[in-house]
Amino acid sequence: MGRVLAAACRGAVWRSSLVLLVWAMGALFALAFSLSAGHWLDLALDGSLTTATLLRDLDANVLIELWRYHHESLAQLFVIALLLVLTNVALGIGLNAGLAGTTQDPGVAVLPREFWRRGFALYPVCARLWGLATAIVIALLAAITVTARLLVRWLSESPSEMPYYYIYGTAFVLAGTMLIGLVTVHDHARIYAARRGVGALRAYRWALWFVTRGDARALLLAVTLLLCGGLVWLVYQSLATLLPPTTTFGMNLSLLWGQVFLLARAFLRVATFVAESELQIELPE
Amino acid sequence: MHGRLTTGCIALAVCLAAAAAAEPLSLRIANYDIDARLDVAQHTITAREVLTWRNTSSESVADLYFHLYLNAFANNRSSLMREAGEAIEDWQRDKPDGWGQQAISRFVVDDSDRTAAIEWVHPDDDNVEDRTVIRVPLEHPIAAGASARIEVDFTAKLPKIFARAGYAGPFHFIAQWFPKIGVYDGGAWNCHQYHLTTEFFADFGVYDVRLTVPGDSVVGATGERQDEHDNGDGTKTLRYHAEDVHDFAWTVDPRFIEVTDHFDAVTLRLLLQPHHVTQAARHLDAVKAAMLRYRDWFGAYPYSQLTIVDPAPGGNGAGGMEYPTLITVGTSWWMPAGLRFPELVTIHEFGHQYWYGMVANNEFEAAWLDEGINSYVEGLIMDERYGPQGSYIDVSGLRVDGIAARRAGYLAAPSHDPLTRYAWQFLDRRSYSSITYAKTALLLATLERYLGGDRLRVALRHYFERWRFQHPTARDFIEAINESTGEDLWWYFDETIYGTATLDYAVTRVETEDALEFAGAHVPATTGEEPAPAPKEKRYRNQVVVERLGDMRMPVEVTVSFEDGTETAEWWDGNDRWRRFEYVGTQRVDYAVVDPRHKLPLDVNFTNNSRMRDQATRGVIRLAGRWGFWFQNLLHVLTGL
Repeated sequence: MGRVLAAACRGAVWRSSLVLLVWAMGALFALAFSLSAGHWLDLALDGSLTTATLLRDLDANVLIELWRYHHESLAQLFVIALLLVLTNVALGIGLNAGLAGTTQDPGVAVLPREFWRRGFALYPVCARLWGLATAIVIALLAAITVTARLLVRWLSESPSEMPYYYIYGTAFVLAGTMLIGLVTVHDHARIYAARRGVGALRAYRWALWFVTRGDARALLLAVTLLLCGGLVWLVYQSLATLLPPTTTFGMNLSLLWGQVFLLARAFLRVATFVAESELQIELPE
Repeated sequence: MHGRLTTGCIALAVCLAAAAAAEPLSLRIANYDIDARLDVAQHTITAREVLTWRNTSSESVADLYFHLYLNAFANNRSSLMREAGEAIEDWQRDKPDGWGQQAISRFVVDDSDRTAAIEWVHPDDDNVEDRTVIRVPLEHPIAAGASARIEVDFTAKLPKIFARAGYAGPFHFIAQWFPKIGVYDGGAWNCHQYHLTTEFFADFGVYDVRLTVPGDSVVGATGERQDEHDNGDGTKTLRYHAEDVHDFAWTVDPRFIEVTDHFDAVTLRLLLQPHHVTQAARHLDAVKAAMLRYRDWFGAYPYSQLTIVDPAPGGNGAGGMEYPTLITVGTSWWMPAGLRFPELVTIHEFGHQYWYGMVANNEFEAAWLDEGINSYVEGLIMDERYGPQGSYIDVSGLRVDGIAARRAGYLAAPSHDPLTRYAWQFLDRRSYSSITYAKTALLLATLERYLGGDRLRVALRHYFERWRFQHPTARDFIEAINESTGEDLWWYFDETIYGTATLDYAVTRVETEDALEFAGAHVPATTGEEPAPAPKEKRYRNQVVVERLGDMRMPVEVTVSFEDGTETAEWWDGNDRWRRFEYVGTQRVDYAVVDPRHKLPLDVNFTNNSRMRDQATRGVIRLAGRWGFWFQNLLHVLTGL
């Protein structure tokens, strides 16, 4: 596992342009959303002193009035956000396809042009895979939610409130675990489809076998990388709380530090693909 | 001799003190003696009630009116259930066998059996299917000043908890459970039907109640427990006695964990659900903070006991209610320290011991007198004990204090109904809650700032002292406040209590232009006067316009701030629709603020209270940037799926 992780880090470093690409796409969409939100806030606050005081004081009265007097335009902002999310997801399919297609040889650096070429070529199969994986995730999440709700209703006469927490707690843990597993399957399916040129269904079936029975390290790797993500979050958060957000300097530093964190997340994303490819390459034919 | 005299004086003093202690605090018009047996398996109560009612009016009374509150839960045709709308559909689906009801099998007035004479009436609406009020014509009218002895045998089936009373598993909360006489006032009975938004109104009296319950029950009730004995058949009987109260509620649950504490001479009895034991300190701390402040601000709590009941799961509908010497609170197993709902409910419900318990206004007709005043005082105590910022909510940088919490409620429906609307006649529950609770609290907070110092608190104490153990009206409240402050505040109360106008002052213009340089011929004021030399520095003409956007009027302060940091304070009586302030000088206006110190919490829009000449962007960038960061995180997660 250590060797795989080392290879993943090396591979991600050699693909630093891809890391930047993954980060830049998110940043671009976030910027678009920030500009929209800023414009909305600008209009809603209408030259009031709040536009300045928000820097140091998140006054609950401002939030109350934004909701009370501007909820209709806020709904429009949500629509913009939704459109941005959908576009990002559609582009993300290509981005992931590109990553899956360019992590076959961990020791080789990849140019962005090559990345896009492979991403474009793999887009149809990855789109089908995304549809399949998303449908499975939604179906299982819905099943867990419905079961939890039915159980809560069934136990509504329970003399204790704890079953409510037990049921939803279990459902939450189950959904989280299931999500980690299914995302790992999806990643492996993308890489397998890229490596073997097979269809979505076959790739997904193979990935499901690989993650559940083929190589025990697949899930272990996913959990390890998730923990790495958690660690990065802790580092980010512990420093973010020290930054003074009430000054222009502090505010800029805070925004910058946030981007450093997201860059680290992008690095982990690329490293994940490299590591997962590494596992598949090691599998005997 | 001296020793004997001293002993005699002490004896006399003790006798006088005892006599003073025994002296009724109220008129004690309705006095109940009740024997009740609870069947926890069937959720039924079988009881006999003996009511001694005193006719304190100046005329004889020919009929009696009684509330049978529990019949509101008998079916979906009662006024309460009709008003509940969709909520009742959910309740009915989840709890199809949850109906409750009340039936009288014997009704005797001074040895005259009037059972057959009972008739249903519906004084509030045309709902003939509502069964929550009865009228009993009497064989012999009760003369002015006379008393009547009314014996009532009744049974009650408790509903599964929907609103206030009922059962949830082994938890039974038994309120509005006995046939309760209305209030004879001004030559007529005041006895309203039970509505979804209405609470109660009754005369003070003495309650002596014996409750027979299963032997393993933990019982909480109004008043003081006098004795308890085992009946030897798996049941026990507890006797409770309460004086100068106007209702009696009780609760039974074998799972209650009892925590006792004291404040002054008052015994605090906290009945908690097992999973909430870790929150005992939160409730006790809150109730003690409330008792301390109420004692200092208004007067001592006159009863020896306060029982605080934590409803069971599924029984939340019984939570957040007040009864004499007994309150229900509410919490859940997961309750972060920064979410101070248990504290605010505890403080609020304790406050009702004063505003409702002692100052017993008609909750059907003027709910704001108890809910609103109580909400105002609750905010003061919460801010003092847990704030001032973030006293209600303090989670992840979001801080909500008393004023913000009330404004959130008030802005939901600020102008549909006046405070004086009867509780069931509001446009909807949102308007009822917005006006009754939030608007009252805000109008008092505004008045507090208008009067300055602690004049309002002193005035509220005067109102409390003048009207405790009586039934004040809106007019009584206003007159008490006027009396104490020495001011005629009718102009304010007319707009805020009787009207629906909103208060909204805004700075609508902050403009600067170059001041015109002098041109044309100089016309001297006096012969030989030389024209003033042209100023060397550039001069500006600034104008600030403040508008009254709402219909309500209040005097307001305006602060105008200039580029060099200097400030000018202005005052406007706020009567006209707008007022322009002009400044010519070497400085440009930076910004202007109307009501800079937030002395008008009733203002429905704080955001428009200020305006900058050049809009700042740093605050907007900070917030939008933060939102963008979270959005980017979300995109990262979604792309990774």
